[in-house]
Amino acid sequence: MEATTDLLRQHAEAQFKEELSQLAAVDKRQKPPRWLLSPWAVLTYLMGGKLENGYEISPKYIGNKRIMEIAVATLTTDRALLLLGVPGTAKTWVAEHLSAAISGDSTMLVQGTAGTAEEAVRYGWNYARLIAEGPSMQALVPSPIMEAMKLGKIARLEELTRIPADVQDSLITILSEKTLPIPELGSEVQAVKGFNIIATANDRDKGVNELSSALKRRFNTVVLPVPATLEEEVDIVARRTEALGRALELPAEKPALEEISRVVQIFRELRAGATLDGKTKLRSPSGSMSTAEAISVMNSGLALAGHFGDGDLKAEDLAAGIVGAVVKDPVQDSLVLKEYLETVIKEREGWKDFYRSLRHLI
Amino acid sequence: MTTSIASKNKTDLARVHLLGIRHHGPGSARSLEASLKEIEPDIVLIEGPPEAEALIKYVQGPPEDPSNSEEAADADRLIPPVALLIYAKEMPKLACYYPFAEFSPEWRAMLYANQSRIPCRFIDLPQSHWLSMQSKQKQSAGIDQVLSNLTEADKIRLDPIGTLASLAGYEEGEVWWEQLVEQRSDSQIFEAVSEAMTALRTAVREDEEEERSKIDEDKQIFDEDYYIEPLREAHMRTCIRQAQKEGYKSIAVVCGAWHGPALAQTVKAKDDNQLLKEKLKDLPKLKVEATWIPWTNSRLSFESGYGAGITSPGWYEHLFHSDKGSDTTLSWLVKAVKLLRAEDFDASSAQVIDAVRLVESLAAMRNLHHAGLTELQQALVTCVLSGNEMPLALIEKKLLVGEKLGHVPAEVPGTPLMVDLQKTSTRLKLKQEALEKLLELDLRKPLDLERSSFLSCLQILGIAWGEKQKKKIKTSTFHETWKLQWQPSLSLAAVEASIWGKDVRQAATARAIDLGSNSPTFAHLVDVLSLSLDGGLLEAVEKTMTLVGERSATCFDMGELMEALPVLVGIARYGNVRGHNPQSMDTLITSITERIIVNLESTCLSLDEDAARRMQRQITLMEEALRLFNKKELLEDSRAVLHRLASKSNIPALISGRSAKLLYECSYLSQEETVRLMHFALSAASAHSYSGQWLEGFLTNNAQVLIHDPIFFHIVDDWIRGIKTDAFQELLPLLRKTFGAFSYSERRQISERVQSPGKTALAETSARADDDRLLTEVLRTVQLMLGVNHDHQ
Repeated sequence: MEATTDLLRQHAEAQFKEELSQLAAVDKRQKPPRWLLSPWAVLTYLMGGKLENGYEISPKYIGNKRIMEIAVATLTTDRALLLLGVPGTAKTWVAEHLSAAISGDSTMLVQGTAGTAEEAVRYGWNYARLIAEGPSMQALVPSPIMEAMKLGKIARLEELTRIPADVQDSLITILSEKTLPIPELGSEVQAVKGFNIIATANDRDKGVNELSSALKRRFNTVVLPVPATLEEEVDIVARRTEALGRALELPAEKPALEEISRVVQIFRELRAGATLDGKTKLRSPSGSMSTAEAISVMNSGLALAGHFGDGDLKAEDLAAGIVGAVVKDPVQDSLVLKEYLETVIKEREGWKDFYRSLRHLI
Repeated sequence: MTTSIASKNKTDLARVHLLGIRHHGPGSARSLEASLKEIEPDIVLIEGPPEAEALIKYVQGPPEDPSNSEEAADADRLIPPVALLIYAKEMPKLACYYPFAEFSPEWRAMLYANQSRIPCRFIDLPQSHWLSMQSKQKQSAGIDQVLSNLTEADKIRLDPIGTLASLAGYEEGEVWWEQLVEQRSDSQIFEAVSEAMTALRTAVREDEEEERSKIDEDKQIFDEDYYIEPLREAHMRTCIRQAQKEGYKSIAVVCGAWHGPALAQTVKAKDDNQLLKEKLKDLPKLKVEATWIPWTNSRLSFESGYGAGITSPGWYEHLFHSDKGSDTTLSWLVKAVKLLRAEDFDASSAQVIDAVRLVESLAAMRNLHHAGLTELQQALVTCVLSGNEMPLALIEKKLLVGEKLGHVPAEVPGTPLMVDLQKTSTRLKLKQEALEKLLELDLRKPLDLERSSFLSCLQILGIAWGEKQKKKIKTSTFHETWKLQWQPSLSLAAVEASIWGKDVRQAATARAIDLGSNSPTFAHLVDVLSLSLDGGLLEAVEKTMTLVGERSATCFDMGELMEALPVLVGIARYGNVRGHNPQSMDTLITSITERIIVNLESTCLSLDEDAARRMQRQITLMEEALRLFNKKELLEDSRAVLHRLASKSNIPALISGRSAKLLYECSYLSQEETVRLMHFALSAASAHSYSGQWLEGFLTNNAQVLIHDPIFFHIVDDWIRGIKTDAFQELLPLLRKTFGAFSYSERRQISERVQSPGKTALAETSARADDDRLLTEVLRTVQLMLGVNHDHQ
């Protein structure tokens, strides 16, 4: 085992070990089978709060508590949970912490890609053994999902919609019959109580494999929204930009909060299809305009300013990034942006620099 | 709860049952009905306006005789939602609504009394006093201001049960009440509520004492409340004593739970009488009228009368109708799923099962015994709608509001809107006549302006008395012509319009706002705006303007926007004829135009012929509107786009031609450039149909250019002569359409030109005539040689 301090990133259950054990100590409420914590304690772990013994739990998810309640309540029934949302809405983050809090283990993970094969979802074979001994339980290589079924833990499936449709469909038996047949051995693995699946999916991406309605029906879908207020989002972007800037050793100065809030404002307005004051409706571009993209606009702006500018973050450093984030469809989106520029930015006091530098680019 | 109010007369043994209810609470209604059946009172007293007592008799349940067809039975009885309307006879604006739904406890109480044939009375402070207090108040305080001024104490008073529920950790007062009802036996519930109310009242009183110690000018409105409440309660007590005196033995008093403790208090009759006398003596007594009017479920959420509105009447109705003990969760979800299926969403029974399970565990996580509306909706979104909340909005109206229009039988006397309509028409000297009549209005005269506004308001309300004529006798902008005709059906329309307000203007404002927010197309919305402006409804104008701004930003159909422009510009230019000039109109027009300019070119690509024809007309409308609007920047921008439309070959020919015409007309394009464009469009390489359509675009309403400008004439002339016979036959309908639209004299002038090109010709044309003469000679020789005998002139 490596020393934990050398790891680039720790699993949630290791990083927040202390919090989890404190929670378990005070948790007196009823637990579903094989859950390490009661649903209420899981909720506290996610949303943060002060325990009876005065211990402070840090919030993992900043946002609407109601949504987390639905997510946890879903897992107490035997329905699988699908976390849906645009990129950068903390889907994976929530899934990891949920499984850490419920099963104490967030490692039963299948990463969905366009190349994910059925073996990754069901089981594969150790071919050397298969040839030497013939089909047997020993020659079988279980997938994380199969492991979770045996142990009664939470399995995670990242980017469900990126998985090819035929592989997705192999989940149906697991979700409805709670069993995984192994026809080669004439046997099966039946899920133990406590097993469940948390899947994450992205509903804005193009080229995803839409879930079949048979599969969709087997999931409870919880949509994670984008940050609710400008302040909340500016805060998230500022922190992440600063953290990333440090990691990449960007030469520019730390971005002024004012620039961040202007970029976030543009993102929020285009995403919501309305100006912040609610007076003007706008058309939204086809891209997702997520918080994560706002962060990357800030970063590329910093890099531009640092390497090619005077180190001061200016509107022209950000403009290219903004155009790149907004214009995904060259015809429709540039019309949307043009309209936004002419009807909103042009009139806005103190935004002349943004107007000029954006107008240059489209 | 059974209390005997102290009375000097010891032999009086009347039992008074105080039944504290929650206004519009279905749970309350149910326990009330049960209690009434148990008590079997010989009189029912209800917290309601005494002036409307005569109207109680109209409250009847559905006839029990099943042989009657349902429609016939429904036609002549009150069908909730309806409202009692109390209004000052002289000033119908001063009015108060008491809406009732089927599940309103007061409605159930009236129904009970009528069905068991016992007397039923309203015992609240008469509205004549209340309204006269209102009339004394400054009218300046709008409802918004009132709501924003609500203190904690006021909120408690408005919805005491909701307050108790939220204290108990419930979001929804009704859920809390339901659980109380189901946990306790019915006879005890009123007692328990009364106890809780006593505690609340004490708390609020303390709060208010504190409030009052700080002198606050802004809180005058609620000072009224502060002293009117003891008055109301004193009046109610007096009425109860009166009933006792009359010898009723078992008296059921139905009042807001809030008042329960006060009515149970032992107060000397003398004190009450003195208080009433003292406070009411200064007040002028207003003459008030009462009537039933039809109400809608969505308007149940209005705060009026009882001061208690509800947001989801459909949900309450469901709660009321689902039998006690049956599974409200399941039946509600099934109902929702049915509606979803009707909207073409997939929703299976298996999903409903999952949703029920999620609702249960959600309720458990939130420490609720029963799930409320919040849990149900969240489960629906999560399990059935795959996290998508949009479909919910589609069924929300049917599910949560349960849109319903009440019915009032004809024998109930008229509504204030009708009264106001009569009064106003008399004042404006408009006679309700069955004969059709034209009315000429000069908007510079105050009377005529008012008439025009009034008629426009009626139009908004769907009372089609007058119809504005498009063809005016006089063309100036301050003249209007109306066609008037009164039909009996309009009286009915007036009754229907009564739900929108108490007088014509107010009702029209409400209706216009509603129409505007539900209008199917952008053009319709703009019509509503223009009507509201005609009606002089400033509030509605403001709201619809905002809507127009919003809708225009998301409207993808540039054509719709372009068609709306002339109306908007008309308002901006001539709005002040009517004495108001909406400031933001200019900004609105500018932003709409800018959007059109940005999108126009891409919109014009790939249009079929019909669409191109529409677009051609819309472009003309826009250009004309912009000329009228006369803003240099916009005109320049739009003309630059038109220039691109005129010069690009992938734009439909009709549109290119029209753009060229519009630009030439305003001298944006020089003659030279226009000629070049025309040459280009009519050049031999272009398809004939393209050229033909270009010509149609260019020449429609533009014969003058052919008559007076020989250059254009010759290009067209050459082109037509160059067409081969087959192609010509194909083109003929199109050409006929273009030229046929010219007026007779225009066609005559053109044909003269064709027949004698030399007559008005310039040097250039005469040279051509010479050529022709020479050519004739040659032709003659050739004909001779070929032996063809052709009489060529």
